[in-house]
Amino acid sequence: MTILALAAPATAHAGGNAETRIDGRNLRAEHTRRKIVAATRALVEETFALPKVAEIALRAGVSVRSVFQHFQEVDSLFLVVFDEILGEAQSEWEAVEPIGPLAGRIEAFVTRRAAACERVLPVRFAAIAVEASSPGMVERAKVARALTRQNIERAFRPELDRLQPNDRRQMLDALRAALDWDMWMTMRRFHGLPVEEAQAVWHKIITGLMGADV
Amino acid sequence: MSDATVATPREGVATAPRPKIDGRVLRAARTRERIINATIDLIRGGESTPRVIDIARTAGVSTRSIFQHFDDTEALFAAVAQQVVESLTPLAKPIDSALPWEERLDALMRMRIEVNEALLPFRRAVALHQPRSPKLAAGVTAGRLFARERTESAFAPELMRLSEAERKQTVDALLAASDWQMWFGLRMTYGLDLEAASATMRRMVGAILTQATARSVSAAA
Repeated sequence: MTILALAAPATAHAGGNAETRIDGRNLRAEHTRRKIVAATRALVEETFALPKVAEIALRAGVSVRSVFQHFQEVDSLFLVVFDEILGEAQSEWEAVEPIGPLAGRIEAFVTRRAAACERVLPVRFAAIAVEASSPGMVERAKVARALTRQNIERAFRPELDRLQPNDRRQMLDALRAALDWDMWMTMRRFHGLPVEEAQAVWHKIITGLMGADV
Repeated sequence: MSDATVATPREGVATAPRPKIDGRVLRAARTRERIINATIDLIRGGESTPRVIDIARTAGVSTRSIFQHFDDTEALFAAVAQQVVESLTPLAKPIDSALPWEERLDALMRMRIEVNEALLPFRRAVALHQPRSPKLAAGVTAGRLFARERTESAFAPELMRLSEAERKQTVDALLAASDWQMWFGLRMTYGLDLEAASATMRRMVGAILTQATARSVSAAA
């Protein structure tokens, strides 16, 4: 801060000073902001929990005050991290097209869904602590689930469209509940299943539901 | 006791004679029970983490009294979990593996759904506290092992014919499909009523058993 103040008169002579100075500050602020987000993300992915502000500051190499200058509440910082990870998982999602044999589509869907859920697992697990009190988190979960519904309907359209409306709805609900990210979390964190085994369980449930040949 | 009282009169003042102690123990047990039940009522009412002040008000005791009976909230929540599990244990009767396949499936589903429905209000509280509460986590694990044992013994004839790896996978899938998280998802996240959620869960569990039966038949042939 003192260095900044001392440097200011010198740059003032250089011309176009005000602009440059603000830009420099913005740049530094943005840099700090990124460091805080990255530190939070690393902590969430390591601990599967919401880090404390002091831990974030330590990891980012900034002051606690600085964290609060950039994020008024830890909740909003957590939402930024959540959006970042979820956004990556969603942009990497490769759609399963409604063509080809059912068994192959189940295999592809389960494999990709498992990879996506595994990626989101730490931040989703941590989110449980804030979901009840965070409208932002509730809204994000809603949007994510709507997207998953579209993915399921697309991949299994031939089978779903053959069903009566009531059966179709029930089948879709069953698929959605089975393939929910919280179901993945339950298998991984609470049932202690390794990735391949949890994936095999999904495969079994979906194959059974859709009546594919085993 | 009287000898001890004579020997250490000072202690005699702190620890009252036997009949009085019993009365106190009884009262203490009742207060403890009231605190536990008040906590359960609040969780059922939608508070995943009831505040001590609310527990005290509901139980009709002082907040100080709560911490006289429980070292901390972790101890209180562990006692709550134990009480809930004890109240549900009678529901989980063993299923006779000699019964026809469909009847065993019906019995398993009745048991799982009844327990899951009773546990619905506790789902969020458990998810919230489990990572930080070893006792609660141990309780949840015990409940899951219990469900696993019941499921394995009910379908022992079919499971026995499977390879070890296939058997484990089938049981894992049966437990996941009838897990309370699945029930929570169907009932709360996807908003299905009791009937629709029951039908959906039965469909999932039945489909896994059908696969297992088909495999065990082809293995036997």
